Amino acid sequence: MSNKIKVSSTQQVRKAAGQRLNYVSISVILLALTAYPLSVFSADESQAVVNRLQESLIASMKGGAKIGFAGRYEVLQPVVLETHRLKSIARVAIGRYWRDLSEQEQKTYLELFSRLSVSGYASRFWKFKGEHFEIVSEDTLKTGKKIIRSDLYLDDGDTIRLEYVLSEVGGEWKIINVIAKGISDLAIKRAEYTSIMSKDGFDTLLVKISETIEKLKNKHIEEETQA
Amino acid sequence: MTLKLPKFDHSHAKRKVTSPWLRLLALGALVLTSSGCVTAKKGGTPGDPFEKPNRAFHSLNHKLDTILLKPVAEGYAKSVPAPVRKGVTNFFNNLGEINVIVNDLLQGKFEDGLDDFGRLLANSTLGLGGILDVATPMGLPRHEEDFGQTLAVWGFGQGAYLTVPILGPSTIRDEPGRLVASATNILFYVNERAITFPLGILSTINRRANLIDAIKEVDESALDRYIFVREAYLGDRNFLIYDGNPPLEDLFEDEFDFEFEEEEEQE
Repeated sequence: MSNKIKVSSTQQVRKAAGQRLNYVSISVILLALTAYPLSVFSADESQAVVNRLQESLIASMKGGAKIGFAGRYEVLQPVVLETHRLKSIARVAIGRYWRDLSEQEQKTYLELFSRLSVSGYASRFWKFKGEHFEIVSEDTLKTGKKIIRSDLYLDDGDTIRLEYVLSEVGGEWKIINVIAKGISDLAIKRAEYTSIMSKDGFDTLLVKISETIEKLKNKHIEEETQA
Repeated sequence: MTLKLPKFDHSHAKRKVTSPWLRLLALGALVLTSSGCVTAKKGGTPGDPFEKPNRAFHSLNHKLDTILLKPVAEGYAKSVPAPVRKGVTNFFNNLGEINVIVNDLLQGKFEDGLDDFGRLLANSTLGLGGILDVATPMGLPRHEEDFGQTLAVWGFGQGAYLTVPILGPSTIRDEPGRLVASATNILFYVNERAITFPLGILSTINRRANLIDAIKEVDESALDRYIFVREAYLGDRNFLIYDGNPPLEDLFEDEFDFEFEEEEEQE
């Protein structure tokens, strides 16, 4: 009798355990089902791109002078290449002159442009003093492009309003412009590049971009050699 | 009341300047009677009709800054402790508060005007003549308004971009703002050079010191310094005109869009 009871109680325990397991697996499946469409189909996809960039910027800042410019460049490069539509940005920055470039020239220019973009981030986000990013809003333009507004909170309590413009190609959202406090990175580059192209030509543009990369690289060299 | 702001445009130069002063009166009256709905034509292609003289003045200003102002401002920033410099900045901001209030009202932002009047009172008294900004922690943050922004809200086109000798970047629309800013500043009515002259110098050095990092950024990132400053100035002004929320479509000019689509098709 007591044996029987024992058996049935172990059976019950097993059964209960099985049920619990079922609940767990069902809830996991349900979670997965709800999470899947969220990440793939909803608006959060474009925000995820901005988040990914900003997380790497924080990582770059935290690496700081210790890992040096080269270290920060290494942290940022894959993320910047993945989150930005650099070819399009470079193409718009040089405006109508793009068509006049040979294939080799376009390649050289694109290569230099992406080095400039990564270097810009690596030199600007070089020191961590407790900054953090917060996404404020997301809007869709008439053309289908998205604007993600985000604030960068500085250590002294100030904030910098950043606006990321993203476009979607083949289901992938990528950044095509960054506007800081109303100042558009692409507008500046386009005005500069087209002016240099019209006055001095392509070689001068390449020289000037290379010089800027050098300047960005050496910006914090003193602190970095001390660290 | 909703203020419909004019579209920001670079087309200034091609705009006729025939009616603005009449429009100023008419639109001013409209704003003051609080209907304040102003629309303007959409902008055309960018232009910089005074680029040549502007560039000359830009490099003159840059040289003067490098030789005279920058070293002094850097010395000032190094030797004067940050809280003192903050006090100096607050003091001059407070002197400029009347200008902000006047332009709040001219733009029909009456609530802001009241708040800024509260700021002026609180900072001038509790804030020891403006040295402490006690208003911000009281929930009265600083607004940035000037007559150039007011003209924009009233529907005036931006006018050509200008580099003013010694004074720096501006536009035709922003220039009258200097007069309004002076006329609303108490120092303008102090007829004692022994007071106004040193204060003027301190204000200039302090302002330049506050810009050290920003100007360094320009020096490091600019491929063409003149153009970089021009575009940054115009972007910043647009940001201020719309109180930090420029219309979404302004964030990405149509011209850009066209080329992106072309590029994306090729990908």
